[in-house]
Amino acid sequence: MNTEAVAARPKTIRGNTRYRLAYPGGELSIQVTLLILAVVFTLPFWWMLSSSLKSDAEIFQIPPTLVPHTLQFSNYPESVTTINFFGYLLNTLRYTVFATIGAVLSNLVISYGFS
Amino acid sequence: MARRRLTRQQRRSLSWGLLFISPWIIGFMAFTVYPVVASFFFSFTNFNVINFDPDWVGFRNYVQLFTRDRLFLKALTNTLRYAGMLIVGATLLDIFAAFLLNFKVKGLSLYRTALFLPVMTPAVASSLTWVWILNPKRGLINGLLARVGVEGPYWLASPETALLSIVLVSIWGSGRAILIYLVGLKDVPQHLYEAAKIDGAGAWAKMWNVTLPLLTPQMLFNLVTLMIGALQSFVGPFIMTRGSPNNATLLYGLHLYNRAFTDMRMGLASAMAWIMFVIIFLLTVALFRLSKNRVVYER
Repeated sequence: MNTEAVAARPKTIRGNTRYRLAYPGGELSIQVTLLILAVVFTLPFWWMLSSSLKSDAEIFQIPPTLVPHTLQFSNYPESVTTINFFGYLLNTLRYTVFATIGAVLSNLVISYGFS
Repeated sequence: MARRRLTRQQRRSLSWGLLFISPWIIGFMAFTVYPVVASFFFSFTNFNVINFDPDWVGFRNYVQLFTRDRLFLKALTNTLRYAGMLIVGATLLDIFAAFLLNFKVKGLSLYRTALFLPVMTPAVASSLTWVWILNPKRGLINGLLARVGVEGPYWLASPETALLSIVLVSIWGSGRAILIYLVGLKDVPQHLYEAAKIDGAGAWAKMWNVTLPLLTPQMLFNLVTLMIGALQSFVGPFIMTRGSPNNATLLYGLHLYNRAFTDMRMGLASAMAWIMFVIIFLLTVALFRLSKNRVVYER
């Protein structure tokens, strides 16, 4: 290869755009594809959120609605009161605290023993 | 060698070291080594949980699985099909997603979060949500399809599409592999792209001759972990279908669970577990062998 050509090029190569512009379609198509992927991947989370605000009648409605017609915020206090919510939460918290403390302590000591 | 003669201090530090790792040793012995040995022993007996003095039956469990258990071969082929579809689908999507997430576009952190979010969701919660989303009548997907005039498939309710539905849910949750591919992409040295550009390589040539070859270590790792995870998968299918409809989604783990905890045939289930161990071991060895001259480690 001609050394002159190599020497002449670095300006464009070093431009810190990485290799983005070399890809066909450019930035917009990447943005759109990523947006579609992200929407598809987060759809279940949106479904959980929207369902948590629906009334019982709307949950079983056919066809299903993407956005609740009326926001029923009372689902949240109801879910806390109809089951022993805080009892279960306390169990989980106790489990988490003891498991974390135990894991950190034993791993600390074990790593010293292995080193 | 020095093994025999330890000085007093060495001996003391050894015993301290052993003392310090004893929580791990005890845990490993009690919860890993003992169950492994016990399941190997039980696989040659007719242990059924109730009778604590099981009879030695030799290879009867193993023979029975291949000759008399109609569902065993069904579960095995289901699992292999599931693993095959999952590996192909997840690998293609994950590499594609990692490529896209490697560009510096606006809102990148949001996109990365969106694709990784399923990994952090508890499997039980996401499986229950997917059951609902995939409901043929009241589900979100068929609802959206109906809005544009398409009658959606029956997803988990139909024997033709049930296994595929579970594969799709698993692909949705395979974001960890995206992360690993992304790390691999970040690790490709820029000077190779520059060299390729000087040589007149276009975008596709760079992709095929620089990016993808240098991504092969990550591919191997993801293939192996994905394969093992797919062959052992249990939670998702257990929550979503439990093998229905008509055993179309009866995966190996589900069948093993049924044999062990529904039929109480621990011996048979242990034999199943050891067969799966051998299968996974052989497939892993095969993957490493096949990859030997294809994976690029040198930079």
